[in-house]
Formats: sequence, C-alpha cells, structure tokens
Amino acid sequence: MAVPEAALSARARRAYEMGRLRSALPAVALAVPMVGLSLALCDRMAASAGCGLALVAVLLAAAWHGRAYARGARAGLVAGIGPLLLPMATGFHLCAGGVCLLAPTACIVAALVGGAALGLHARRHIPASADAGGYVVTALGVAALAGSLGCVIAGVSGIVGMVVGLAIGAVPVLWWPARTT
Amino acid sequence: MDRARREALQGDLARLADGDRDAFHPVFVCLWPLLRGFASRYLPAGDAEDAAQEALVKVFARAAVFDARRDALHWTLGIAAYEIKTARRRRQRRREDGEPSAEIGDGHLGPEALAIAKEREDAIAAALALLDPADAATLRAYAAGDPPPVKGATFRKRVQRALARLRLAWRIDHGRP
Repeated sequence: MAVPEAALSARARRAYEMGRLRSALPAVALAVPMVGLSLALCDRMAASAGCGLALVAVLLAAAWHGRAYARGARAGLVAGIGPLLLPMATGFHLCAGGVCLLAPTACIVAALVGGAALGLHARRHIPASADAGGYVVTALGVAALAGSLGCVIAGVSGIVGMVVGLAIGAVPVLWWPARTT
Repeated sequence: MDRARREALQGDLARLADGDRDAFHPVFVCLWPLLRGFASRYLPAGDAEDAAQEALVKVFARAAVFDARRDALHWTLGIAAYEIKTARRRRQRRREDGEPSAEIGDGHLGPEALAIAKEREDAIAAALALLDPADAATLRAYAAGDPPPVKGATFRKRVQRALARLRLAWRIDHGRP
C-alpha cells in the first residue's frame, strides 16, 4: 500500500533511532560485570548501585547518540578499568580487617595512569574539532564513573582522589600539544 | 546507479552508522526510489511497494551496525532481496491457502487485478508486435495450445528461440526480465 513519503520517512527515522538504541546495548552489557564486582566486593551497596546506574545511563546515552560521544565512552570504559580494579585488589590483601590506607592511593595512581592514557589516545586519534570536546568530556565522565565503582571501597575520599587523578593525568597531556603548535 | 551516487551513498551510510543524523535525509532520498525500482522488478505493483517500504525501514533499523568497509549498495540490496524473497513466499502461501487475494466474492477478478491483468496483456502484446510475425505466430499457437504446424521437436525449438527473442524485446522495452 502506498504511504506518503513523509510518513515513511518518519517510520524510517523511528526505526533508525530504535536500531541505535539496540546497538548501544552491548556497550551497556560491558558495565554489568563491573557493577557486579563492585556490589560483591566493596560492601557499599547503595553507592555501588548509584554509580552503576549512572554509568549505565551515560553509556547508553553516549552509544545511542554516536559519533564522538560513543568513541569517548568506549575510551573512558578502558581508562576506568585501572581505577576500578586496583583499589579492589589492594582492599583484598591489606584492608580485610581494618582501616585501609592503600586503597585511596591506589585510586589516585590508577586514575593518573588512566587519565594520562586517555589524554594520549585523544591527542593521537581525535582531530581537533567541535566533536573533540564531547569526546573528552564523555571519556572522562565514563572513566570517573567506572573508576568510582572500585574506589567506592575507599569511601568518598577515594572517589574524589580518583576524579582529581583522572583530571591531573589527562589535562596536561591534552593541553601540551596546544601550547607547542 | 552511477559511480558518484554510489560513492555518496557509501559515505552517507557510513556517517549514519556513526550517528550523524544529518546523513538521514540524503540516504532516504537515495534509497527509496532505488528500493522501489528494485522490488518492482520482482514483484507486482502492490507487493513491490510494501516490500520496498519494509526493506527501507529495515535498512534504517540496521544502519547503526553498518560496517563502513562493506559496500553500501550491496548491503542495502541484500536486505531488500531478503524482503522480496519473504514477500514472494507470502504470495505463494496465499495462493496455496486459496486466499482470495485479488478476486471478488463470485470468483471474478477484482478491479485492481483486472487492471494489472490488462496492463500485463498490453505489455505482452506490445512485445509480441516487436517480434518477427513468424515468431509471434509460434508463440500465440504455443500459448493457445494449438496443434503444432510442424514436427514436435522443431516446434519446441522454434518456441525456445521465439521466447528468447521475446525476453530480449521485453527487457529492452521494460528493463526487466
């Protein structure tokens, strides 16, 4: 049956947006084991669940939107693995029975490394354009949320230290070429 | 489709896969007539329109996972071919179930089916007119089931040759087999 072209275009547009949403699901699935680890090991259910929900929402939105946001979310997820796992590893060995001093340090160190890696990747692979800002902001946001799932083990100070570490790691690397060129 | 349009489609579909919504309209404008024409080669008018619409919607539904290293035209036509195959299977099933698709209650053809049949007859008559009179007479005799004026094997050979010429004339006139 013939339908007006405008109606067909609207139907195709809806199908496209739904298709994008479906294609975003694998990225969200990557966050599930991260949230599971945090819930199982960090002993702070509410904080882990909150950070996990925020991470899933940001990943879904970025992957659905596409372009620099989707690429930034993927890079942020990789950069966030260090701050996610390192504090958990230190917590296992040194903090089982008492106060944990190593975990906040692990958060900061892992975040510094993750932030620097993110900055280097962005400097090499993302051309300076209007999209570059979206890429960096999304990548840092996702890395911070993924990292907070691990750093929640060290409390608020761990999360704040990790966010500061990410920024200190990434910003100079991103800023440096702007000064030299 | 010429080379420039094909390259434009490749670029636009890759942009759409990346999430660039500005590429939606160019892809739609390029694909809709293409898919409609493609479907009408293999299906009657009403079914072709439906299959082309379904194919177009499916292309957009899967655009997010399109791999830019693949050929956009082949990818699109692959989806359309599957839709056409499904539509043909549906038609076949309708026929097998005895569903009165184009007939009205008393067994007579409906106005749409009559129009399609008339159009088809006119097209066949026009193609036959382009043939050599002997070929046209052979095909008419064959279609009517008249007894062959020559030996069976010779007549079959003549029919075969006349059909090949008819197909060629049809293809030149209508652009489809």
